[in-house]
Amino acid sequence: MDENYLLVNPNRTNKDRKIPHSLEEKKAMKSRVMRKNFNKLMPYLLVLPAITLLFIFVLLPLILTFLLSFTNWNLMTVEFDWVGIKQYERLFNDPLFWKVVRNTLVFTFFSVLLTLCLALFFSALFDQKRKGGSFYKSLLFVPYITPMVPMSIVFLWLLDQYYGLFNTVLVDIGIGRIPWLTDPRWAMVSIILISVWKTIGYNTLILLAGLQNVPNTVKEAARMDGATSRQVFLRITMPLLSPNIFFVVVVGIITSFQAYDIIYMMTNGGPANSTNMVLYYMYQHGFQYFDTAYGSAIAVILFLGLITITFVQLKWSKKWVHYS
Amino acid sequence: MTVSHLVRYTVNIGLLLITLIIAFPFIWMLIGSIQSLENVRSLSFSFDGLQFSNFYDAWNGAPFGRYFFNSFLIAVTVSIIQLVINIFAAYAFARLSFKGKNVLFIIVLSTMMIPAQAIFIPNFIIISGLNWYNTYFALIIPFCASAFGIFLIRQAFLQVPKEIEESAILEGANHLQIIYHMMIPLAKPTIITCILLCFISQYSDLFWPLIVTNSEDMRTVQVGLSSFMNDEGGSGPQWHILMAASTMVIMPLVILFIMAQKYIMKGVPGAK
Repeated sequence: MDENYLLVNPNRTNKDRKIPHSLEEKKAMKSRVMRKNFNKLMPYLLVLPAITLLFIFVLLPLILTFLLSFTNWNLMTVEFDWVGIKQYERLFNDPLFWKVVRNTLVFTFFSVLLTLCLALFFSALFDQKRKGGSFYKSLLFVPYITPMVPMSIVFLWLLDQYYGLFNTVLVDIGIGRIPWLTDPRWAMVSIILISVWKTIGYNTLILLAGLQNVPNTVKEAARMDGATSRQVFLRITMPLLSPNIFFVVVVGIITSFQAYDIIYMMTNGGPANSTNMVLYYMYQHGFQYFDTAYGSAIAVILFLGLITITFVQLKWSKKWVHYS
Repeated sequence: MTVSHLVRYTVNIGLLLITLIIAFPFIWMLIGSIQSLENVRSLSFSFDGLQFSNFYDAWNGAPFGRYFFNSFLIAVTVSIIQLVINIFAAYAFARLSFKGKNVLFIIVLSTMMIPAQAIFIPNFIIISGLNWYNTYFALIIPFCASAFGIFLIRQAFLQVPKEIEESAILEGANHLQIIYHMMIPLAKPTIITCILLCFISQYSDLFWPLIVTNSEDMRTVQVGLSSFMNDEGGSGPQWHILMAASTMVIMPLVILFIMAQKYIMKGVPGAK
């Protein structure tokens, strides 16, 4: 190998190079040159499969999404026309699209807020118990890795109008049946509660990790100086926990924006589109109505929303997040 | 003393409540999966009539054997191919210097920001164009490289001391030998984490297999289970059978989690 040669003889110059005479020497020389070229090529060969796949299945589709949104193509025909921003005009004049956007924002706001509040409370509780919490921690993590399809079926049963546990209990204690999935408002509440159930444990663990990074000595020093426990919480714990809170909020927003499985399984966007959200709306247009161009325009809007959040996060995290 | 006792009791009761809330749907699913239909309808569970035949009925109610075969085939194949491709790229980005390295790495990182579902429409068109619709290729090939995986493994490779590698080069080892004999063993925890996270996400995915397959023998467990749910119409959903089917679908991941929770939790930021 040429690296080998270089390391053994660092004072090598061009003069040291032998001029090949015999056939064997020529062969050796040739193979060394080939190996050298191969070594130059090696890094590219190593990254080639990854770059190719990421290009074909991520970057190219991204470009295509933008291009498609300026056409009137549907999957049924071969021909299409460039129609400029017509799809976007359609989108902005589509009352259902605005409803879907509003649903997404309502779902995101309440599920993230509720998850954050509960996770803060839970992590504070867990923080009190420094010993023997590993079983609880593992359990908290389980919903996060459980597929949404089987869990949705369990919740469909729990929320069933007549045979579900919740309504049976509610009838027994005299409140009466709640139309969990058949009333537009309650359907949204149900979806939010299920998504909170799914993410609460994971977020508790993230906040707990932050809490346990706050050194006790700092808190004690503050108390010695006469700080009340409220001051300790607001002035010491919260600032040190802020990166974790920020992470929980940002990841929560990004995942809520992309809610799909839960809607497909629980409500199909209904009743009366009360739980229809951006990604599901894209699915309906792209894959059920075969309105490819319109679906692409929805995807572009979703993408722009997500990219905005990501950039805000990148900008803010420099101020907030400090990895020790 | 008494105050601290009180605090400890409150904390323990709080913890118990949380765990109950988290675990309840799972417990409910398990209970439902071994009850008879009448018990499930009236919510009066008993130990007398435990009915394990629900699992048998669920297994035979739909081609679950085929669904499981498909899911495992896809998840395992993707995990292995993705790992090899990610390791190669990660090694090049961590250790080798070549022209355009920074540009290429930024391109890789930028793909992490693109949500997979937002580009499903053109991906579907590409898959159809390649004539891969309703084939294993459609379910496997698009996921064989992962920017997140490359990033994670690269970070682990950067931790490996350069001296070890230089001595290996002196001994005449080539890049593949270095990757195989040094980098992989030294970055083993991260690599295991990557395999597991990849397996879990492939096994759990619903959206993509739903749109690129249409025949029953290509369905994955998630698609199969959701269509099983929709087919169970007639005289109302057969919750006991559905609970048994859901339990079967969740079980592989629960077993995996119990066996390898250390590695799985390590791969998720914040969860130690």
